Amino acid sequence: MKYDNSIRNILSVALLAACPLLSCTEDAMDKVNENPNNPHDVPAKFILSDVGVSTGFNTVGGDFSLYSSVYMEHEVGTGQQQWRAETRSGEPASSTTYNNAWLGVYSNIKNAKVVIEKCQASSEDQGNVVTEAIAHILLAYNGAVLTDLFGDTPFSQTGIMNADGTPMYMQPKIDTQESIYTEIMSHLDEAISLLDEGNARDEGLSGAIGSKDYIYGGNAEKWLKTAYALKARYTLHLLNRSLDVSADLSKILSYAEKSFASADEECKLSVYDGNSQLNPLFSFNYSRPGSLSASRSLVNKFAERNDPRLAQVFLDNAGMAQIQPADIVAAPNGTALESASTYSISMPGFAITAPTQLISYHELLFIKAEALARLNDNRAKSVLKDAIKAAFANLEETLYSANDNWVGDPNAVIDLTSQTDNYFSNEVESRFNASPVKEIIMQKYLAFFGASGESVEAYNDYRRLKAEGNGYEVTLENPKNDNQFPQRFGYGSSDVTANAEVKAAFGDGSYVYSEPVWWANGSR
Amino acid sequence: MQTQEVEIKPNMRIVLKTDNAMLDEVVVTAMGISREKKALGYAVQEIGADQLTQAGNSNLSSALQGKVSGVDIRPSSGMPGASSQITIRGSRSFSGDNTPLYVIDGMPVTSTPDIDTDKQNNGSVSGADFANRAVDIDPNDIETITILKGQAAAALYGIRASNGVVVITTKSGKGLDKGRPHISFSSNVSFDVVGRTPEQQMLYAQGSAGMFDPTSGQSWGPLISELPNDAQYGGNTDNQYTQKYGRHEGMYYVPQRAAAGLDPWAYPQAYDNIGNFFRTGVTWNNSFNIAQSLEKTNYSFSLGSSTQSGIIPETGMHRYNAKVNVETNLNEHWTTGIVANYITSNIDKATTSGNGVLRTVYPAPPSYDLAGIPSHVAGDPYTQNSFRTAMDNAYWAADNNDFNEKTNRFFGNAYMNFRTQFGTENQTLNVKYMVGVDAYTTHYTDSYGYGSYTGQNGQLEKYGWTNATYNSLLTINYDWRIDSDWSLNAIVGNEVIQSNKNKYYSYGSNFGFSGWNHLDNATIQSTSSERWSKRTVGFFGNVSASYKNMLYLTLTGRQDYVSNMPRNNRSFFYPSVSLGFLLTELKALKNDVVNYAKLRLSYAEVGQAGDYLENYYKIPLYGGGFYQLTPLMYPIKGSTAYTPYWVIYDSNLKPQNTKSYEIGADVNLFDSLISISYTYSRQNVKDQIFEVPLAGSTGAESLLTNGGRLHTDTHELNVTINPIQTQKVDWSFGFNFTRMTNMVDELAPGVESITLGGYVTPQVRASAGEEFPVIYGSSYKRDANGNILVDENGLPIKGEDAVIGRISPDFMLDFNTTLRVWKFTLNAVIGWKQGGQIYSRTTGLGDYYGTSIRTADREGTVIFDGYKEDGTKNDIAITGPVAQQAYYTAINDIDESSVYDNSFVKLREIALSFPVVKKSHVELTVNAFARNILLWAQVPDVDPEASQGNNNMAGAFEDYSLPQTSSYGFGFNLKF
Repeated sequence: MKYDNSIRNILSVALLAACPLLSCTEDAMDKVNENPNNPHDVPAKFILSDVGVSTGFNTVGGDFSLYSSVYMEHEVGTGQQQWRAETRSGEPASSTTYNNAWLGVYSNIKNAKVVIEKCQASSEDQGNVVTEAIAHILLAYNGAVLTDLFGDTPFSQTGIMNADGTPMYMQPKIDTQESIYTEIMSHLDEAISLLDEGNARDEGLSGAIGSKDYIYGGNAEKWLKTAYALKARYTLHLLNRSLDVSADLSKILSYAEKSFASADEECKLSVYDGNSQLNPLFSFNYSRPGSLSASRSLVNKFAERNDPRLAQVFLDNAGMAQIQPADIVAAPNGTALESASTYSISMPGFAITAPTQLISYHELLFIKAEALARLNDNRAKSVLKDAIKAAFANLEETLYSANDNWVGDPNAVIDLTSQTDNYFSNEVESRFNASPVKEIIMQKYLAFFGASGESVEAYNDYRRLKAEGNGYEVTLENPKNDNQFPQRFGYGSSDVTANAEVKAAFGDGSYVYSEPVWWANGSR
Repeated sequence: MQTQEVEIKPNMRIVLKTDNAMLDEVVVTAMGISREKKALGYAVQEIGADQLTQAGNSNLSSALQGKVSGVDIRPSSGMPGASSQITIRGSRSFSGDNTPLYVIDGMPVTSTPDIDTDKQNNGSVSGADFANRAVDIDPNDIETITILKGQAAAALYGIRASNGVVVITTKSGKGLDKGRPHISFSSNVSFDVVGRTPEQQMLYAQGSAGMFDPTSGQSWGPLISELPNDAQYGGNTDNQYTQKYGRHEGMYYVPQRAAAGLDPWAYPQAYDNIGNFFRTGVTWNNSFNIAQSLEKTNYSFSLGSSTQSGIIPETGMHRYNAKVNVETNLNEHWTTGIVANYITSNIDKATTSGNGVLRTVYPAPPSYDLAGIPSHVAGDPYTQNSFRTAMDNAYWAADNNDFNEKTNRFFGNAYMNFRTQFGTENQTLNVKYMVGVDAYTTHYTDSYGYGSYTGQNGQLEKYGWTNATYNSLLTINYDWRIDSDWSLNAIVGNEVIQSNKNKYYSYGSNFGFSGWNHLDNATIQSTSSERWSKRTVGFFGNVSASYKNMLYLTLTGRQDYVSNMPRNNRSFFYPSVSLGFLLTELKALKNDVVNYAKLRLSYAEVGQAGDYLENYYKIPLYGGGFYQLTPLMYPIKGSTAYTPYWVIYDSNLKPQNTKSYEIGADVNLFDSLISISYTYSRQNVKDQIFEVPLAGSTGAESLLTNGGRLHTDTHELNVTINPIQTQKVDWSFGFNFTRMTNMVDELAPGVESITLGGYVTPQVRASAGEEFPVIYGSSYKRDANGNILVDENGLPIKGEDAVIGRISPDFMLDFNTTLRVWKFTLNAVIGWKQGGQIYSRTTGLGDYYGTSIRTADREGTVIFDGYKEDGTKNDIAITGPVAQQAYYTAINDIDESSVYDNSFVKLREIALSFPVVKKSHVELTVNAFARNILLWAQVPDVDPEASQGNNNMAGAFEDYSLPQTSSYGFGFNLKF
């Protein structure tokens, strides 16, 4: 009997073994592996929402602007990476330098393409024409920053995906800057047509973008004006390659006409509340104190013009306002010490809530002034004055933000707009009369100093005008520029390691000093 | 039979005790199967309780160091609860888990850390370390450890077997003589002092270019003795301070003393800031065990405690273990039992690396009284007062920052065993069914207080894991001794493992007011929670046949089904075969010199699954890069956003595959006076699962897919020699030699290297065509002949980013010895690691900051060992403090300058024990021990066994890593 019992026991145990068979069917396993933590799909507006934020924070306000401000001498790098960029020691020719921002801008391009695809093909999002138009504009915007800085670069094959979400092109090919600009312009035109003179409305099932658009709250009219402002900016970028310069200048004027009528309409990201959301330059300065110092080149330019900004925008090393220009200890460009304690610092760097300008009203006015001046139209002068006034207002806001939230110096003086007339008649006008374009460019350059993320445009202007050869560009003081002026930014390391064509194009990185981009009369 | 010593008495009664281990040297192998060691066709190594605890070590992984071959143990530091990376025969995965499976009393338990420093600490270069879950194991409760090194040994564990297995058997009542309870109590105390720290120059003051600067991070100032003559701060000169306070001859003005409310005038002197910072840590280990074997039942009950204060203020560990183990025979067929463990641990940690506490200790200028000047300004504990800004003063951090992990854990199992011999003599059937659970919750706190430079007005993260793994295991084991020549053993079984994890995370920053570092006080808050489940179902079989106790053949197979792979790609089969051949059983080969010789051969295939998910969207994160805070966070204005996750999952993912070949031999000579064991193994791993970095221009960052190949070649040699065996003196010693090459043959197409951790540069990477892993960063510029070039000032030039260091050692050789003279027993373990490199930022920055002893000779001359552009040897002398500072600044900019040879020899353990009382029912042994007391290392300033990362980068990257400790202690063992 014992024997039988044990057989039965074995059988009952063996039944236990059958149980596991049921627990390993594909369906059972699918259920176990379900991801309860993340959505597999979202409506397009939730994606576009971040394309706007990331474009402002990463593409405009982030590392590109930071390094451009060093190359353009809005700031002097006096710590770590910025000091090495200042002294051209490795950083400008290294593929790791811009990689974070490189990843950010390509992610924006992909996400904008996903939004467009969804608005065209997904039953939920079809009919959301404003959403789609914004995606076209931001796609164009990111593409333009990308190619302005990197020249020929991957673009058309970015963000094209297979059905399972994997990229169709693992190593996207390099497009020429010329072809990227063609695509940019066509995206802007597409956006303009979708926006239907500002009458377009989102009508898809997933609902209008509305407040998920942090820039304009889904306002079609304002996005339309932005599209025109960008067309003006990009037409200007391509001026060296224009087949008919005066026609293009007229186009710029007509685009500007259809664009912002005041600073209220400019395209900016102003989500920074000083608490959970912080201005990117502030975030940098907070994290890397002493990395940026007051630029001697900029101080000299202000001083030369008795510029009211000189006594309002710098702080001493302890963070108190320097209202006496003589007290400013400016860092020499290119030869500054790597020191956090030697030099004065720029007050806008602490503007915790200052918005990031995707394209500002003052920039539009400067563009307009330049086009007018080039066409010998005497309206240029008054437009320039308006531009300076708008720029002063923008900087004033920045300085208030810095002083109210961070610097807290009761002795700080913030008063710019009221001085516009004096400044213009005493300092600007005569210089304008002597060389209109040169002074417009100088004023535009000075206006781009701040916390609005506009150093990249100053960098674009400099390279465009240098290539033009009429000496309109501002004068830089870094002695390294003799043979080490960064003509462009070097490709991001993620592509230099994983994209064979980019790797070959990057080489040892020294091309950044020798090869201007296509619109600056280069070949790539 | 066990050897016994008995006192000579007129009437002697000697009870013969059986000793299973001696009779046939049985070892525990996969799935708890006991096997005669001679029957195995693969290498295993055993460590007994005595060896493990001889030096009073409460940390299992460091207690294992130097005691096994083929195993690389890389501790991160000597701090309480510090993580440690154990790999057996190299690594098989570029970025996944390479650590072995731990099986305790028959059940797999979690041993890996839940938090990867790479993820939580931005590439393992900020924040505090995270303990491995093996930290929960109390070495004092371990009876034996068997290391199943090869894949053939571990094959029955299927998909989890690829990294080898650590099989732990804890103390039980089994095998004790029946009747009385056996009680043992052991206790020891040890004093831990800081190990190797940088040697500092004591001559020069804070400042730069020979000028005193009281806020500079550097020590390139004037001679300390010259400070009273400083134009700005000297008490002997005319300056704003002497104008205000009058001359202070021989003194100088220290702004930080003024800020702290002390007398600002100080006589210049050099301070031992490093020595002052570390304290003596004290560790108490107590363990109590009662075990008894009754007629039908045996049990064991253990309690353990380990209380440790670290060498850094506010660090330490408390761990309490309790275990009960009961087994009872219900009748002649049925046996049932349970094992239950409960552990609670509490670890207080300190930060390392980028924002580590030592970043303000090692670089503190010798002229600055770091310990004496309060770390905050007078009247305001939250405004720091230090020799520099931007980094938390270490003393301030100890008071205001908090890094802690608390774990409560239960694991154990219950089993039924049925055994029958079918009424025969030569057949046995064992059917065992076991269910077990390993459940724990760990709560983590990473808190930077109000006033810290990390975060914005403070930053607090509170997060935790609840992890429950259920295990069901059925094994049917059939033994048949067919005749005197042949015997057969067959096993079939099934295993189901279900693991459920839950994570919560809460973040707060920007505290509203000081003094209340709490989430409620954070004006920025976010929370999230996540959960995952994973299931593995495996069916396995094993057939072993032996012939004449001479030939042993074993075949195994296992079919695994795993949930965490894509549909229709979830099941895999893994076979293994092994052969053991006892040459000395052949009559022709029997001789007096070689008393035992065995050949081993095996082949196995095992795999590893990846964690596949359907592609998804996630709320985008901002931060990283330059930002020390979170600059932007959703929700923004009450609304949030989603973008496609930057990791893409490949729906064709398949398991990675390891093919392993092993050949070896065991030889005992001269009546086992000398035993030698040699093993060569080769692993070919293909279809690695890892996040293949994508070109950023795809719009995504990486793709989880299969790619790449790597292989390992390992030679292991163990030699044990017992030259003196007398009653009064017994001396044995042994060597464990390991030589491992771990080559990355290929990554993915177009991918030359992938990141394992570090800064933007330098980083630790896996690089194609190189050994795993390597250090990557900016290199010296070299000419076509590989000579390092210098510029017109005699300074080296920064070249391109490249592989600048190779981590793998050429070999490791450990030496163990036991010497008994009369009743005294002396044990020693010496470890020697030859070759390999380490990146030491502490060392490089010590030169850059001007604090290292190498910068003491400032009036002297440095000539960099390089070549000029024209090909001639560099002879440009760099003389004087200003030029030397420029020189050290220039080389610091080149990552390669901080890569050092990592060879070292370390006296790991030395222990002396003496049995005070040794009677049949009472034994009292006292012991004294020391650990890590002698070190000869090539790297100048640090201990080579202190580095960043609780993952595959361990051992490669030193960056103000918390130091190792030297310990001295004593204790006793009482048994009755």
